[in-house]
Amino acid sequence: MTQNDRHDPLEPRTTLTLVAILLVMVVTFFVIFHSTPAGGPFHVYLGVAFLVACGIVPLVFNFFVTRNKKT
Amino acid sequence: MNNILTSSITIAIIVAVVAIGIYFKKRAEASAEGYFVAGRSISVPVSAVAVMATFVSAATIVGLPGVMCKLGFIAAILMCAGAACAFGWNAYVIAPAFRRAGVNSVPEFLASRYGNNMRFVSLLAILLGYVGYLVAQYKAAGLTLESLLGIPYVTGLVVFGAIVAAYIMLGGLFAVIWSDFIQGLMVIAGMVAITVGILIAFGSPGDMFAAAQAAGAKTVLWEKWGNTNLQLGITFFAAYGLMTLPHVMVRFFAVKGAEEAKRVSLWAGFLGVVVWTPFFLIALAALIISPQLKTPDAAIFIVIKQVLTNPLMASIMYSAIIAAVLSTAAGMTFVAATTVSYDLLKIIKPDVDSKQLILWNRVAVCVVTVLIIGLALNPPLLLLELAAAATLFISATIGVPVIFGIWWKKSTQQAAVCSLVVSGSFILLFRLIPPLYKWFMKNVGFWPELAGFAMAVLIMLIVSSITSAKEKEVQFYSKIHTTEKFPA
Repeated sequence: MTQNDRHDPLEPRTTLTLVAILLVMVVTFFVIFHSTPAGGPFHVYLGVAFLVACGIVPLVFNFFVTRNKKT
Repeated sequence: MNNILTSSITIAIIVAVVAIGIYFKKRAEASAEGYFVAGRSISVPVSAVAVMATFVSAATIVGLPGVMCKLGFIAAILMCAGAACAFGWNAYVIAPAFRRAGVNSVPEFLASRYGNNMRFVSLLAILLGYVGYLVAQYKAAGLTLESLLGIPYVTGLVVFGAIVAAYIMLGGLFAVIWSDFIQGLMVIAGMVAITVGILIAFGSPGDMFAAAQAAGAKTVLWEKWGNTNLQLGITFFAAYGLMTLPHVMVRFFAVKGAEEAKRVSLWAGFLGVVVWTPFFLIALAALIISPQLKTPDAAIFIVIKQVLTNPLMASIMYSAIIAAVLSTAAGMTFVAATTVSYDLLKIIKPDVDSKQLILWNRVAVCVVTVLIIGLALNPPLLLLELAAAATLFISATIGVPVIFGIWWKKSTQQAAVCSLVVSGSFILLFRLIPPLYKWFMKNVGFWPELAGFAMAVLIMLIVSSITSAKEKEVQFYSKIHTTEKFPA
């Protein structure tokens, strides 16, 4: 067991918050995607931005959760 | 020149992975924990790169640009973004609990949570799913070695299987993870090489998009994936299905603590995005070079040939593809062999010692490898279809009891066994019998695996409500939700 482990019981509220954030991102992407004209470069940029956000947002979320826990 | 360089780099990778196996042999043989979960000693960076490498297979590197060119970018965006989300919520939903459970395999986790009956049924489900999954990976390996190095398909299969089996048998999960780490670095290097090459050759992504449209390429065939049901289905498949694959979950057993397991999942998702994003450039470049691309799976090879004129850069990219095949197949072979040996032996002879467990795992690795090579000689379905069916089967059957077991105290053994048996039988019935599959697709309109998943969730909810959890099940639930220093 590591030092960090001792401060990290499973937190349903934090977990639900992350799941909710990611779900909101998916829904937002679908809404913007289906309400804008298909086939243009905008959809490609939107898609790539969505993909990058899906990789970065959980990391940023964890950074703030860990920082708040320490302070 | 390219072929010699690619062969040299490939041989160097093979020598490196076998050397890793030899290097870790002693540590792996020291205990069952050493062999099956790498002594729970793997650091976050090594594990994160290894998880990414396991996840990025040759089917991804070769298939994704092909999917983008043929079906449009939306298909790939939904698959990749879904997978990135899977790692994001995996970090909180599964990884810390798995590490805290202190077990050595996924069936063992289920057995600790629900009792030994669950170990047996989950073992059968994993084996069934992984046979299909491994056949797809070995077929991809044979085809890749044939097209890149000119090795005949059957010879390639045998050589590939022998290498994978050798380093698993030598160093257990230590060897699998450390070789995945090297292979992951190769994949990242390959993607950097091709991104730089494409940007130098074609300019900015905006310029590339304009050039592709000017060349008459149907760059974004959104219409083919315009069906919202299909889009939601593929997002669900990626975001939920990939989260619950045992060969990914087993990596969380091998890190130092629960917090580390969480960070591994987060960084693996980020690294996945780093590797997936250049695929959009590759697809655009392929459409500029060949606007009427006839063989979508050839897209990446067309780009490598045209853009990476430097032989070293091209060879790095080719070797990255071979490394991707090796890492995914090794992770899956290890899980399948562990399920056969470790979990089956624990049922037959609960007091089995670690030496016997390691010995039987080595026998199982050989048996699994020979079986898969035999099946891959004449695989029954298309590569991607086979892999998708296997992934969905595993996640629909295994994933539901795992997630309920972590997050719902009232989940019971009866509910878990019922949900796995009923959903698994339903999926097998409607997937393997062609007339039933056709009837289902025609009348219901989506994959039987999604119906199987819904069925599994409903059964868990209903049966758990009318049965009561045993004391042992509740104790294990409490164990994974707390720590020794801060009890619940």
